[in-house]
Amino acid sequence: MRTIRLRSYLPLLLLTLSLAVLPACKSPNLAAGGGYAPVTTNSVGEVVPASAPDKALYLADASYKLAYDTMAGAFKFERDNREEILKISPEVKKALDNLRPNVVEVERRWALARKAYRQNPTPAGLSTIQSILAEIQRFVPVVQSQLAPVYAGLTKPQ
Amino acid sequence: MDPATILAFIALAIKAAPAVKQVYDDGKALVQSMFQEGEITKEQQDALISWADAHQEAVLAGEVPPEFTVED
Repeated sequence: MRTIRLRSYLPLLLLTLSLAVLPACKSPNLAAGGGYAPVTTNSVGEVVPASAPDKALYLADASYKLAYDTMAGAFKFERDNREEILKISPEVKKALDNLRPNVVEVERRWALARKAYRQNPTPAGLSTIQSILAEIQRFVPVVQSQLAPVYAGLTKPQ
Repeated sequence: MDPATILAFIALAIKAAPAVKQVYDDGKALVQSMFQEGEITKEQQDALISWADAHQEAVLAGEVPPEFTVED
């Protein structure tokens, strides 16, 4: 039976997260007509931008999704395997339970900030989203580290 | 570490592998899209903004996934 080396995924996962934290080193162009670069048809039938492409929101949303999915994956992993993890490392649930309500609170503030920005895009509103993004990104290594003792029990491929 | 604990780790790691790999693969694709040459396609944009809008509204509606709740 092939044993999967999970340990090899973790540094790569952390690397992708660190890339997401960095300011966009290569600011991508947004194809016209996408959700972040909407278009409309003007009076003479030309397709024109409905508003300026919002690269910053794209990057903020992408970074947020990355952080959220990673934490949700860790929380779900602990919940789905709770009985076994409690036998291996009883402190894991307690540590994650300390983090869970904090993450939920940051989520609430992110949603409020993003809704406000979507309704009225302003530099200040974007800055608020980015500040909250930084908060939730700081949770990611903390959540991951709580499961490190569990991940540390991996074996080498046979 | 005793053999029983080692075996418990192994079983847990095998169970966790698909879920962790999925998170990694999704994350890798997302980050690649942030740094790729050329344009972020309409499809990539629509997929992300759909997720973000839906997640935003779910959070504002008070929806909390079970994995984010504290249980006894």
